[in-house]
Amino acid sequence: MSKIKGHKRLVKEIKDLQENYEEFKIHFPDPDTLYLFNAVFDGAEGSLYEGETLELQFKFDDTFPFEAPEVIFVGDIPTHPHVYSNGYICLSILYDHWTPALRVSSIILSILSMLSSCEEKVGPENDGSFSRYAKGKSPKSFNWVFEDDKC
Amino acid sequence: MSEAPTSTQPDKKDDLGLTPEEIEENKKAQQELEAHNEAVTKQMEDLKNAVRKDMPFVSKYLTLDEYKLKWEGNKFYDSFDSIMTKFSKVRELRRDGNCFYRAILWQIFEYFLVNKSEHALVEYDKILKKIEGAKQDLMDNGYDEVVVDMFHDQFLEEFKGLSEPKIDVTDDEAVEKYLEERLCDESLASYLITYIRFIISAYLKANREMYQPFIELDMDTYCQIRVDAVEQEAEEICIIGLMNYLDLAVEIIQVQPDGLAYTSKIPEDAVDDESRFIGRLLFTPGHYDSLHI
Repeated sequence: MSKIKGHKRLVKEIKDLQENYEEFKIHFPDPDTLYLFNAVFDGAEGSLYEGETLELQFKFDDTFPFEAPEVIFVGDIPTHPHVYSNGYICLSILYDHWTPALRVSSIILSILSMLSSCEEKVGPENDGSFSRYAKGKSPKSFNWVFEDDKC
Repeated sequence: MSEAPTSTQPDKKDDLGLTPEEIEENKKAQQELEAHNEAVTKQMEDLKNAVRKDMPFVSKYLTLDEYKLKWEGNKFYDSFDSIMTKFSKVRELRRDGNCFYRAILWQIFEYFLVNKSEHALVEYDKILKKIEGAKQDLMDNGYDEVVVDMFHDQFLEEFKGLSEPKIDVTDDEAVEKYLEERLCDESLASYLITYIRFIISAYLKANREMYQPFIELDMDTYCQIRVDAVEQEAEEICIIGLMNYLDLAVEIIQVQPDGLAYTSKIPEDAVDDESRFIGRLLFTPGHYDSLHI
């Protein structure tokens, strides 16, 4: 498999995650590639997600770090106003507000903070129609509208 | 609502209290909206691709006469006559949100590549020192080393390369090719431009008491979404930040609807005496091109 342009940066990020963020367990579903990995972590204590095991999937391509990786929830999808039941996440830094200065760890921390500030466990209003519509499309292919400052 | 007993509902309504006709209508509206969204996304993608295909990142020289022709019938048309009294050539920049950054990098690189006068060498060393120290400035202002490393190393390598290029710098074509290889390349140029964005952000954050009053967003958010973000156009405060950080100067010639041209300098007291680098940019609404004497 050929290397993506941001390979060196990604290797550093993975190393940093493994060494400095014990709370995020990284595993590679496909042993042949570094460009797809999952991060497993616990919902923050004291938040509505305490006791839940959360799992994000990261997918990298040649656009990294100039575009965000593709990030979705897999496994048991948490119920949250900005998380669709297909795992897609409405969070501005994953799309329009991404910058090459952001890191994989910053993404996980932002998502944790998004969950922690949640006051009521409800799914997004348009979950049903969106999840049907989104089938087979990448989360990066939509024009996300960020409705509030938490998103 | 789903707990409401169905027997109390007279018609065949679903749990939102909608009739089958209304549900059908909603569905149709939803589908139309989705089709519309899809069309808009495709249109934006097409537009981006069209810009990509038709427009080089940095064009070959155009005479100002040729450039002016593109503005025929426009209220800014006459402005080019007064610009022509001082400048003769323009390089057009691709309208991809990076026009300022690419134009100024092209001019800085070209100046230090070609100009080996005593003045230029002193100025080159001064900037080189700044860039060598920039990594620490970035890390002091919230950039992680993991992030900074590649951008810093790449920029430093290219800036150092200007002092001993393996080309004949008196050969205009070789110089143009050298700059194109660095600044018109999807990969390398992205690193160089992003690095410039980062040092502007770091400078603005380090001097936030001075610059915060000029921006509406809080400084960190501003830097994240307006400066660091790929393809965000440079606002004046970004240009000021870059010039101040690297101790450079730029002259911006702006077309006016009354057919005149307005010149602004950053810093305001910059002297254009040909003994030091001064960038020269042409500003037409929403866009920078590169001006040349």
